[in-house]
Amino acid sequence: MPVTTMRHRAAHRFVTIIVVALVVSYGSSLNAQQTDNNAQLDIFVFNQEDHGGNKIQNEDMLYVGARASAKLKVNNVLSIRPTISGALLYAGGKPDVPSTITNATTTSASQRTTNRAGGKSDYTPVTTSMGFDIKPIGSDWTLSPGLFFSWQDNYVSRGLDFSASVELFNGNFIPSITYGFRWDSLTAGSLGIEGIFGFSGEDGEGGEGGEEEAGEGDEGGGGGSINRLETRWTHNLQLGFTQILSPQWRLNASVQYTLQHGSLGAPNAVVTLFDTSDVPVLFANEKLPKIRNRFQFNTRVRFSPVTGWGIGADHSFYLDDWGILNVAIEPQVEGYFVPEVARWRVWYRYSYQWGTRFHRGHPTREFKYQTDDADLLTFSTHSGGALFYFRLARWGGLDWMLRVSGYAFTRSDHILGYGALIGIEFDW
Amino acid sequence: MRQFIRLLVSPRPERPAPAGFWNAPMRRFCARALGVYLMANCLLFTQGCAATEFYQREKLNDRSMQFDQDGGLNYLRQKIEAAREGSLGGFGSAEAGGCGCQ
Repeated sequence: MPVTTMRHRAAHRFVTIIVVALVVSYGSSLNAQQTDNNAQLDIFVFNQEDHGGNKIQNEDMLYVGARASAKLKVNNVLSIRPTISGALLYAGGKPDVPSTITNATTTSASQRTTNRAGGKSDYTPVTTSMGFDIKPIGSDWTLSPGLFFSWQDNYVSRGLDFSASVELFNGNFIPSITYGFRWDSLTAGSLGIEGIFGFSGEDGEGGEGGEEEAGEGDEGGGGGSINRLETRWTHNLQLGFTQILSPQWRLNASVQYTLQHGSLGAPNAVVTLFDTSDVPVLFANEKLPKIRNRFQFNTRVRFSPVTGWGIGADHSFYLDDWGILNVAIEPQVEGYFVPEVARWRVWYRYSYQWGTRFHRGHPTREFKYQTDDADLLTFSTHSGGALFYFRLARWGGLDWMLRVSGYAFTRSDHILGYGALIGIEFDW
Repeated sequence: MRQFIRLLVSPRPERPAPAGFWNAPMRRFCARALGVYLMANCLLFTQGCAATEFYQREKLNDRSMQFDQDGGLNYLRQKIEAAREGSLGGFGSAEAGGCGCQ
């Protein structure tokens, strides 16, 4: 299919999503009660540049999208939280493949398929979710079931969520438990509309099925083959609490466990093999275990010295059985230029990740498990951003607000990104 | 569990020490500052949790004290960061990460 036609089609989908998002936002506002309701519409752009990382893997990316969300109080017991987002994703470019790699164009690890998204370059991801908050009259419990669905050409995810929380000691202590389930289908080519149901779709855009090379042994889940449908399941359990420490301090802590099984690599990701002179000579398929156990501990603290001003810090400690360890800290400050009219927030985040033991450096042979995925390796990240928030006017029975935000990050392996977001929000 | 403990105590590969501003004394200072900071955070947990009445929550109920006050921005950050790392700030979900998709 010609590239221009694909882009026209993607642009058409994108416009359709924007229109649907607007209708959802405004339609929601017409059908809700007159209190405690909120709707938001955001448009965002994000650009990522890859000046390092894995040289065989191009992580350049341009991501343009929109998201609409709402919180609507249906009655005194039930609130609903619909969201929909859509985007255009232009992923990767041609990676710099050394000419010494002899199988770069004849195996599943071909040059064309070594960008992160699996060979294709334009996508139209669409994500939608619906959450419900149920709080029976006279009860301190809130039950929150939810549905999740995300679709893009080569990746479909469906999910269920359930959360329960209870207010204890007059709301000073709120423990919560959350469980989430995701069922993902992914392929290097296009899933088509059948992908919604977990079937393999059209075969056309991945292209090279006839040149597929079987993974050796395939004990790992990541032995890539072009357009093969892969499946992944994720279970996430989170236990946490929010504690009011004083009229100025609020604390939140949570621990979560995630079990993933199925295909846990990226389709057609490759590992470069070297000869004894350290010259890259071959591509081999990435191979990763079919199970991943992941643990994370988070704490979040907020302190308000003066009404309208808040100082906060978020912390994260992450560990998994692939050998990845990640720590992060995120201080932030929020205040106002004009009370209730113009607000600002700035944040900075630093994280350090120790990479997986399945990264083999410059291997001269294949291993049972092996990866060169830059996102699974060792690096540090600095990121930060600012958000400005303005109350505009009361119009059409709604309080209109405007949000503008800028955001950037840089990684020690020379991958960097920057983006902006502009959004409107209205309460009624 | 034994594997996790081994991960915690096993030596991690060191990056080559950069010259200039980020030299060894500077890193030592930052490590100590981080230690003090973490201890200060731990002290928070030992604070007495005196009940705060509803009429005392003016500051707490302000927008600046909420943990997740901006859905659109959170969504974008999770898309960008969570899909690229094992974790995300203090609010990440371990569902994503390392696969390039979320």
